[in-house]
Amino acid sequence: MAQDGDRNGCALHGSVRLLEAIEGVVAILHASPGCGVSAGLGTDAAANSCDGPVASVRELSATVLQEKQVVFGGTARLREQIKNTLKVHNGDLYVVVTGCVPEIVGDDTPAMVKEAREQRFPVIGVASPGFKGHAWTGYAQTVRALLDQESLLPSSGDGPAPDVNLLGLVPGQDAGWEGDLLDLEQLLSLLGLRANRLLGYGQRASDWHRATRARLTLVLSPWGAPAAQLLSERHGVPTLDLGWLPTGSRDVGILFDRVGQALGFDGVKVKAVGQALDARQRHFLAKASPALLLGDVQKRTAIVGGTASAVGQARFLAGTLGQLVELIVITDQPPEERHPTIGETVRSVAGDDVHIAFLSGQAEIAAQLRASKPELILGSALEEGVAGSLEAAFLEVASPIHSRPFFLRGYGGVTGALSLVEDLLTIDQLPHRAIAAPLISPPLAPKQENLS
Amino acid sequence: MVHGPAGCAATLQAGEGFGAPWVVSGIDERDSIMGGDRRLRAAILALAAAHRLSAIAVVTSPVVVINNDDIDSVRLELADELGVPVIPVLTDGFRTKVAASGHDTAVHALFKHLPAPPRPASEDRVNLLAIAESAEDAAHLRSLLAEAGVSATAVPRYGHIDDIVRAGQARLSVSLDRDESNYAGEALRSRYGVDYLELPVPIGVAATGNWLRAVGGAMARGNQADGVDRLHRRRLAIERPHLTPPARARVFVHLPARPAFAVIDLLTDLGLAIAGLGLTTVSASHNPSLQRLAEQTPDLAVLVGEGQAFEEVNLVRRLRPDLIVTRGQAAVHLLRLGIPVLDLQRVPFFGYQGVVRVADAIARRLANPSLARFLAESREARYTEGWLGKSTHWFIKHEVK
Repeated sequence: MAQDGDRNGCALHGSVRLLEAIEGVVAILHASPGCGVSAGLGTDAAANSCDGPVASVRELSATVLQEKQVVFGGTARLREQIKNTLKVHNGDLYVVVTGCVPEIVGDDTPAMVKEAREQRFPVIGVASPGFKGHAWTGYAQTVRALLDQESLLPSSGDGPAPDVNLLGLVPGQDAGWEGDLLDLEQLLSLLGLRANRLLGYGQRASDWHRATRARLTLVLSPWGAPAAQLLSERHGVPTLDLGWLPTGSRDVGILFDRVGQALGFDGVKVKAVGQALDARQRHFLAKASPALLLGDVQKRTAIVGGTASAVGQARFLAGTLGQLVELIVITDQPPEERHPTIGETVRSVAGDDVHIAFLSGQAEIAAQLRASKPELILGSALEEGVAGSLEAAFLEVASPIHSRPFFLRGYGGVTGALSLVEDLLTIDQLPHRAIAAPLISPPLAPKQENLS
Repeated sequence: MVHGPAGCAATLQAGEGFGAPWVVSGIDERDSIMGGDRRLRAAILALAAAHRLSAIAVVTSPVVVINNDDIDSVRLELADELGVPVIPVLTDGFRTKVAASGHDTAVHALFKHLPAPPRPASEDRVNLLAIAESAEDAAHLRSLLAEAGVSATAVPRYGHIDDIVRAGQARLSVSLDRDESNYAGEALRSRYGVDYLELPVPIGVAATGNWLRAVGGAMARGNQADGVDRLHRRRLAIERPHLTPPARARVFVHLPARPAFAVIDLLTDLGLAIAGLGLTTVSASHNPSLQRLAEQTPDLAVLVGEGQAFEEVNLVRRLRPDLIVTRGQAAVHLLRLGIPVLDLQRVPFFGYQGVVRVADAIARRLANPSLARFLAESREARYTEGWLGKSTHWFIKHEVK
C-alpha cells in the first residue's frame, strides 16, 4: 500500500536488524547495492544516531548485485561471497539474507547455502524480499526461520536450559526493544526464572539453539506468534501469548500471574513478588505526585505506535497514571484477526470510549489526531508536526525516533513506566485547553481486568 | 515518490530536514509479478491530493525496472491531469556500485524534464552547483561570493524547483566538487548556453582564494574577490595560532577523490602528515592529482572503495595513524581500532570557515581520544587472523568479474 512518511520499512530491514542484534551472527546480504545502507539508515534513525543521512559503514557482507547478475543470475556471485565472508569474518553462524532482486530473478539460494553446509560451514538462508512485507513481518519470518533451522545452529555445549523465551519485541521498530528485554529479564528473575532474551547484548546463536529447551515462550506482540507456534508444535514449548508489553507494576503483576499459572507456581508467592513491585512503583509515583499535580499533566491523550508498546503504554497511562486516554493508533498493521483482542485489551483498562485505529501512513494518522484533538501525543517523530499544529504536548516513544537515543531506555516493566513518567514531566506541557464538550460522565472508570 | 517496496524509501525517513512531502508506492508480492502501475498512479494522486506541488519526481527501484513496469504512460497521463511536471528518475540500483552516479541520474532527469527558463541566459547571477555538499558549506561559499558582490544561488541541492528552472538564465555555473558538478554544469551549458567554470575544490586557504578570484574574475568582480580573500586571510592569521593541532600527527584520509586531494593540502598546511589515503572511486581524470601525490609521497598507501569496512580495518591496523578523516561514514569499525575519527558530515570544511572548523575539530579529537581507546579494549575479534594477515587488496584479484 502506498505510504507517505513510511515508518515500517521492508522485510529485509527487519531481517537484517534482527541478525545484527545477535552476537556472533554474520549476515550475508544477497541483494542490490543500497539495500544494506537502507536497512542501516532505518536502524540509525530509530536509534537516533541519524538526523542526517549518515550511513554508518555497516560491517555487513553483501553481494551488491549488478546488471550482469540480474540478467544471468547471481548464484555464482553468492557462492563467491559466502566463501570470502567465511574467510574474512569470524562468526558462529552465517545467514544468507535474500532481497527482492534475487527472489524475482529466481536465484537458487538454497543450493548455494547447502553447498556451503556440505563443507561443514554453519551457513543457513533466510528469504526476506522487501515486497513480502514490512520490517515487523521480516522480524517474524526471520525469527521463525532461525528456529526452524535450529538443528543447524551452533550449540555451545550443554548450558542450562532457559525458562522463558522472549519473542515479539522488534529491533529497530520497537524503539526501546533492548532496554525492555533487559528489564523483562530482570523482572522474571524475581520469580527465579531465567529469561532467554535472544537479542541484544550478550545474546548469541547458541541462545537460539537453547530456546527449544525452554519451559515457556512469552509472546509480547503479534510478531512473535509464528515462531512461538513452531516452538510449541515441534518442541513442545508452551506459549503464553500476552500480545503486548507489560508496562507498570499492575501489568507486570498480570504477567507474573499468567507465567506462574503456566509453570504451576504457588500463586500466593507470585502475588507477593508482584506486590513488592507495586510498593516500589507506589513509592516513586508518590514522590512524583507533587510534580504531577502542579504540572497539571492529566491530559486527553493519544498514543501512536506498534502494538506491543502502544497497548502497554495505554494501559499504564489510563489505568495507573490517570491520563484520559482517548485514542490509540496501532501502526504495525497486525493481522486482522488480532484486532478485536487488541481493542479489548486496551478497553478493559482505558474504558469503552477509547478509539482504536489501525493506521500507518503519516497523513492518515495526522488526520485522525486532528479529528480527536488530544492535549498530549505519544508517537514517533512523524507525529511531531501535527502535535505542534494542535498545540499538543508531545513525547517521542515510537520509531522513527529523532529526538534522543534509546540505549537502555524502554518504557516497559516498572522501571520503564517510571521513566515514562519522568519523561512526561520533562516535556513542555502546554496550557490546559478547555474541553470543547464537557465530560458528562467520566469515560474511563477503570475496570478490574479479569485475570483468568 | 519512490516506486518500489516500502524499504526503498528508508533514505527519506532518515534524511535531515527533507522538507518535501514524499510517498513510497510500496510494491508487494503481487505487484512484483503483475506490475505496479496501479500503485504508481494511486501514490502520485495521493501525494498530489494532499499537497500543493510544483513538481513530482518518480524514483525507480530495481524491482520495477526488472519487471519493466510502464512508468512513462502513467507519468505522462498524470502530468497532464495534474498540470505539474512528473519527472522520472531512473535509478536502477544495479547499474553501478557508485552511489554518486545517482546524483547524475537525478540531475539528468531534472534538466531534461523541467521546463526551460522563460528567457535565455541573461541574469547577473552564478549557479553554485551543490550536489553532496552540506548546507552550511554551500551557505558559506554563497556568502563569500556575496561579499565580493556576486549574487549566487545553490542548485540543484538546496534550490527551490523554480531556482533550478531559472538556473538556465544565470550568467555562469561554477563547480564545487567537479566530479559531481560536471553533469549539471555541462547540461546547463549545452542546453541554455550558461558558461561553466570548473575549478579545484575550495577547501583550504589557497584553494578558496583561487576559487573566489576565478569566480569573481569571470563575473567582472575580480578586485572585490581579491579584497575578500585578503580580508579573510588576515582574520585567519589571527585565529590560526590558537587552533594548531599537534604537529606531524599522522592522518588517514578517506573521502571522495576531489575533496580528498583538497583536504590533504589543508591538513598538510595545518602541519599534519598523511599516513594513508582512501578514495571512494578513481577515474582517469584524477591521474594528475594522483601523480603529484605519488611524487610527493611515493610510499603512500592508497585504498579505493566505498563502504569496504574489512579492507579499511586491514589497512588502518597496519598504518596505525593518529586520526582518521572521513565523511558520511560513522566509521565505528575504525574507532574500534583505538583511533579517533573526524567525520566531516557535521563539520563544515569548505572555505575559510572550514579551515578553522577542521583545525579545531582535529585538535579536540587528538586532545582526548579516550572513547576510541576504550572501544579498542574489546577482545572481540570480528575479522579472522587469516584476513588481517593478508594484503589489503587480496580480494580484488579474486572477485568474480
